[in-house]
Amino acid sequence: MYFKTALFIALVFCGTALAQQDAFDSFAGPYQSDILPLLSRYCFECHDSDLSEADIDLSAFDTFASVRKQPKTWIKVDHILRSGQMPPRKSEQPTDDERAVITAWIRSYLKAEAEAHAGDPGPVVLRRLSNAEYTFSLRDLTGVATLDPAREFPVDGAAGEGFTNTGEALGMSPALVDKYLDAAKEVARHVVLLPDGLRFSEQTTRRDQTDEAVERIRDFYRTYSDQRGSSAVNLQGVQFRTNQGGRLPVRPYLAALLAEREALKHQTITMEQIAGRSGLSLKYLERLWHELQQKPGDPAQLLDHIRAHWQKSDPDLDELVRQIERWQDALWRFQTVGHIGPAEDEDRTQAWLEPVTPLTARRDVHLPLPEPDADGMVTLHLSVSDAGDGEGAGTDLAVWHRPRLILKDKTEHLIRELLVDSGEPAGDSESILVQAPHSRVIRFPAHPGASEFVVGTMLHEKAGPNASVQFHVSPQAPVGLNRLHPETPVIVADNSPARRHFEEQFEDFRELFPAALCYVDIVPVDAVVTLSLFHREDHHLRRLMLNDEQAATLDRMWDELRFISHEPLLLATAYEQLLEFQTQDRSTSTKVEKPKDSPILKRAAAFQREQVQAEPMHLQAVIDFADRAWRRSLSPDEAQRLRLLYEDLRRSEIPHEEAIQLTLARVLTAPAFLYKLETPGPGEESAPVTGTELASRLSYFLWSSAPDDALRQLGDSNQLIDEDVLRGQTRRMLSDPKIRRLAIFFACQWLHIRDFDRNDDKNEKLYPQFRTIRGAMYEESVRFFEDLFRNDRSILSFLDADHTFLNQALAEHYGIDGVTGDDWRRVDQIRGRGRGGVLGMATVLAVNSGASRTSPILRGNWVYETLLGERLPRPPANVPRLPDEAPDAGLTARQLIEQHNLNPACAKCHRHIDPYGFALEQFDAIGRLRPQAADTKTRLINGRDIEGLEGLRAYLLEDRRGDILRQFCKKLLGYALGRETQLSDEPLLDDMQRRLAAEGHRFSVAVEAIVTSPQFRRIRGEQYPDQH
Amino acid sequence: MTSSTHSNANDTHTLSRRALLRGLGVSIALPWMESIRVWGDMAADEKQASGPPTRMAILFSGCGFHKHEWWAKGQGAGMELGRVLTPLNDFRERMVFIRGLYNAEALKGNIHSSQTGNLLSGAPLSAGGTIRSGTSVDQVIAQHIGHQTRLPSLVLGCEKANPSVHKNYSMLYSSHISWSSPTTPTPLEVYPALAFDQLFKDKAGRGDQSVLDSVLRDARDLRRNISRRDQQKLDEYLNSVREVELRIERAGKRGELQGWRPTRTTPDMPRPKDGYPQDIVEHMKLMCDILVLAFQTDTTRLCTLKLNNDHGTLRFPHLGVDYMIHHLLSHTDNEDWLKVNQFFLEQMAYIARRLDAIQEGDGTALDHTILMLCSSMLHGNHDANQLPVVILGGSGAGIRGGQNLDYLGQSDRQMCRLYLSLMNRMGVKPDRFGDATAPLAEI
Repeated sequence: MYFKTALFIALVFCGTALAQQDAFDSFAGPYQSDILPLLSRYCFECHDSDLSEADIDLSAFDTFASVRKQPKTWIKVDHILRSGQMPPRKSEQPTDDERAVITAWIRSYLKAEAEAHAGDPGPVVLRRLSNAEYTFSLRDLTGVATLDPAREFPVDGAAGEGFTNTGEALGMSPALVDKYLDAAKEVARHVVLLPDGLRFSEQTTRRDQTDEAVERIRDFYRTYSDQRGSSAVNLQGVQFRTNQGGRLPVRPYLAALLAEREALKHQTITMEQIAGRSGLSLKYLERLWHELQQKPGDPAQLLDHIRAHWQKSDPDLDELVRQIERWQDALWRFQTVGHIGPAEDEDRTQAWLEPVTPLTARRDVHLPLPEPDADGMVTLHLSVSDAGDGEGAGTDLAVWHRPRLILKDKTEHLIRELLVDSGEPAGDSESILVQAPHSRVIRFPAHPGASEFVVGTMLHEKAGPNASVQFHVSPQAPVGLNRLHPETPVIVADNSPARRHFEEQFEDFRELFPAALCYVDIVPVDAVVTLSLFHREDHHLRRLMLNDEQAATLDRMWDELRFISHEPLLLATAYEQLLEFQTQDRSTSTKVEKPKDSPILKRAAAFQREQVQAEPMHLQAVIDFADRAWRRSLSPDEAQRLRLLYEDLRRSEIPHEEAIQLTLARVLTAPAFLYKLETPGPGEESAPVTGTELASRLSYFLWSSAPDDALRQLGDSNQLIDEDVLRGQTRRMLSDPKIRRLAIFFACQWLHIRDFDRNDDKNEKLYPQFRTIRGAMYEESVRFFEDLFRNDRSILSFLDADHTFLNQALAEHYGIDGVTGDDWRRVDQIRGRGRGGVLGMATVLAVNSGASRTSPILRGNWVYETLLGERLPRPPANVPRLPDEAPDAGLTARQLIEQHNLNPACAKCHRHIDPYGFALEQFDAIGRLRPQAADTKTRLINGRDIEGLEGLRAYLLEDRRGDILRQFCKKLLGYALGRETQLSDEPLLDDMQRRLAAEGHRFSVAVEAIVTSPQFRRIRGEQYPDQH
Repeated sequence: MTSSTHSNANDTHTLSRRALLRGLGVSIALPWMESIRVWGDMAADEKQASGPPTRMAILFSGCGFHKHEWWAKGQGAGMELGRVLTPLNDFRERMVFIRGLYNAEALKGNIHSSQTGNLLSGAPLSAGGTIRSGTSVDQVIAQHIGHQTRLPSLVLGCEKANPSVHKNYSMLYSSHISWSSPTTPTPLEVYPALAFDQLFKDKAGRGDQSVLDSVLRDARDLRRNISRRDQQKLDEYLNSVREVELRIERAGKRGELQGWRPTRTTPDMPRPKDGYPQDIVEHMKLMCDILVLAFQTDTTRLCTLKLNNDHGTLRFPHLGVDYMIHHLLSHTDNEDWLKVNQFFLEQMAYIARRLDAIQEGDGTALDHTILMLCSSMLHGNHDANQLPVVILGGSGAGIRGGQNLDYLGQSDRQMCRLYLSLMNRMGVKPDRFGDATAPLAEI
């Protein structure tokens, strides 16, 4: 059976059956004539059918054909012979020549066998998502990065090449099903139902999800508006600030336009470019530019003043902004929002931002009296300006009426000085008439007990229809009697053309410069009782800033807020309560409006209908979600099953939202989500996986998660089958931040430092700082590999990099200065500081130490097994105990071990591993450099003398480069495939090593070799014989 | 530690080797689903049980015990105990000390994981990157009698599993003594709060059953399109979902039980805090309390409590022993190692005392509980040729206390014979288990 399969694979991958037959023919003869007799002589004593020591019965291999049935046994034989463990010393030993004959034959046979099966996808046991894959898949699917549903799951085991993504180690049990169901329900609680679908949120309660929806709108508002402008409010003893934000950001717009004014004029820059660069609204930039570039009118109006200023050759931006803001203050005011009482009509809702039109026919001007001078006299300037229209003569006839002091007893005291002194009486004895512009000073004795100066102001009846003036009373001399002032109202006659004229120019200004764009608070907080849950006021924003698409986005967010919060229903409830409350207070005769006619209740009823209409859309959204969660299209049956479940739940009185959550939980408990299911081809023959399946394989390999939309699409359309497309996607994914997961679950897992941030192995008394620094130690390692993978560095740099990533705490731990703050950064030239590569990383050094001291044995063994992929010979029987390692032993770790190794039985193993550990003795048990020089000179088993980290590194990179690379490739391949590597992978590993050597050992070369290999792209046939 | 991977000789067990090999690989892998019955299927006599049921708890402590201090001399009340066992002094008359049993399969790999993953099954362990052991004795019993209680079994631990491969064996082996199938270690509950919830939380939310029913149909559908090999793996899922469904069903029928009633139905302790306890003393006490509570409320009759991992990394600051992790300490045989051993034995004594304080029928709950403690090696240098075993209680099930049994040197000293004995005491009577065909006569 096996042979037939081998043959078939050979057909597919290795040319003709004939060629293969020939290749193996040459082994059969020598096996019978040379090998079998040697085995019989040296091995059968123990390894025969009777005894079959170590479960190996070599006598069963009586023909070469039988050898070929169990190549795995021959790998063991090869290993055991090479390591010199067999035959045992007590037994008869083959001569060197004989040994050479056997091993040469086995190796060439195994090579031929490997090539004959090269590319075999191998036995990949159906893989459940590991806890990490489960978590990342859920986070990526929902977009909620804080989900941690597996936090209390049992730890996944490792198998295959030592990784937690291997099918064998990923079991299922009733207890786990329970946990999956609970976790899925927990995740489903994060669903947010929208008017036409669903999304996920960090939050689980309606209240929190509502707050989140509000915050989304606020974020949107904030991208267009300024934070300025809060005012303090004291509401029944509760103090807070209100009216903050939503302000029109005048300055950045003016500044952006001013900076490019010439370029815009000469059309060497487009408005789109400015908008793109500055992040400002294109629409408002264009509008503002259009308005400001117009020729100022004559006579000048309010906007014309601003235009004139703008159009100067070197306008003062500060002054311009100040001017606009002063006018905004004059022409707008903020009010509290939210209405009280059974306000039926939404239009009655009071606006937050209201226009102010400072025009009046008459008014009293009040001024607190300034301090008198040394002579006991008070000086005031009384002036009348022409409101900027330049139409003084004959028209702007203004009247000062009854200038007076207000005494403390509220009595008045006329100031005769003004009336006596000013020439022209205005028709009565208490008024005088002036022609604007006009200014004069009055001096009068301070009157004891007077606090305020008051004077009436108005136009004279003989003033023209276009008359407009502004009155000013001040201790200071007036300025600018020919322009319009924002601080004081303009006096115009009611219904006069002048009034209309000003109304228009004020309106023009407000159109262009509203004080605020939008009510960012959204939730009114400054009214005692309110029936407004949310106050929307953003028409200025829409009008000035938003294009159609942006406006639609905003509308959608508001619609979602309404839907998520159930606002119409809440409002109706609040309304009914309020109504009841009011009824209690009133006499029975007071007629209360019938609730059923209320618009509020009608709106609530309409909302309920809308909710019902949305239900099928929610269900469809769950089915669409399943398509992503299951990483493939659903069959009609599957989609139907989800619908049936939902209907079933509804029938059992479970409300819509809960039924949707349960259906979602069901999607996330389904085998299609939890398992990486693939459909094999018929028969024994391996077949390519589909594009969709390949997308999943790739995504779980590199990102530990489900494919993103781009990858999924290429998979579904089978374009991913194309090698160039596959390579392109691989490169894209390698450069994505999600590659951090590969750093953790491949690199850190391989090096046995995964979860080091939770390492609890160290003695707290000796190393009190360890708990606080271990997280940083881990982060360094993760960042190092993330950087290596993302930036496609040489694989070998994991040993010889001259850089790493540090923050201050870890840098201090390492004795590297010049790194301040908690931020992580790349630090170069660390080899000069005794570090560089994983051998100098605290994680590796600490994880291979004891609780209280270093362990050269652990470190050495780590180098030997983890980096070099070696295996120690089987330990001999009755090995003496290790010496007591209590800290008071008074010997260094090295001395202890060397003492131990005086025993040859111990030395047999230890001389393979300990020297590597001795070389790293300069580092203490938590990876610090010891202050005193340690003895780091050592002799390796092959006689080579090395010293310290540098010596060890040089040895590994020069003498053992091939082994290091082989081990890296083997581990990466095992991780990618989710299985142990096997004989038939050897040609691929050879090929990877060749390519790496030719292409600077770049990481992507190894990854691309794997993902384009048949192992990665094919699956064994359905009927492939089970070898277990 | 690498130098600790010293094996004992392969040549010490050649005598019985051939005989043993014949018995290997036939560990009974019961077809799981067939053995599960719903409560309603129970035979009439089961319903009418009038006395307290027998429970069994197996405690495990990794890395063995102090080389010179694990021993017993004499019998009954006059039994002398090595210092490791002093916490059990009060229980000598109700104790069975057993020396000299072993698992032949555990001698092959000679490293922690290879002797722990099959401790309770005697099955061969698959090395390399694959996982295969055998269904453990507690789970085989659970498959037979688990349907009588709300939970078939409770599988607890005080140290998280180790996710790596060590010396060519998955550390899953080192982290699990209970196996629900040859390829699936029973997941350990290491969070006290969640273990407590297993006992008392009403797991069946409304709609749960519909959800499970629906995914089950998915699984049956999908099963048709995957390879045979994958089908086996998917069956784990199918069976697990079905089991949870059955459990929900059973929960609904609770209260119909006739005859004997447990002495307690509600917790006598507050729900433990969420999260993983930072203090090992507190952690172990909580898990012991939950074990006792599970038995007292008859929520389950089977529990394994893995006090630590074999090759584990616990430290014991409360004993002043935090300069070295448990595994490394096991290679020392010093006074600190002894203190740590005693701490583990105190857990057993604590459980025994608590059970003994519960009056049940004409005895105490300890009389109706077979409480066993074992390790996968006698001491730190991986000697799996004579496993340390001590049993307390169980007189109600016919276990005779005060015995000091030594099988070393005898033939047929398989650990699995002990398991056959225990299975018999629990009312399960297979013809063979692991590499054994006959129970130990003494137990």
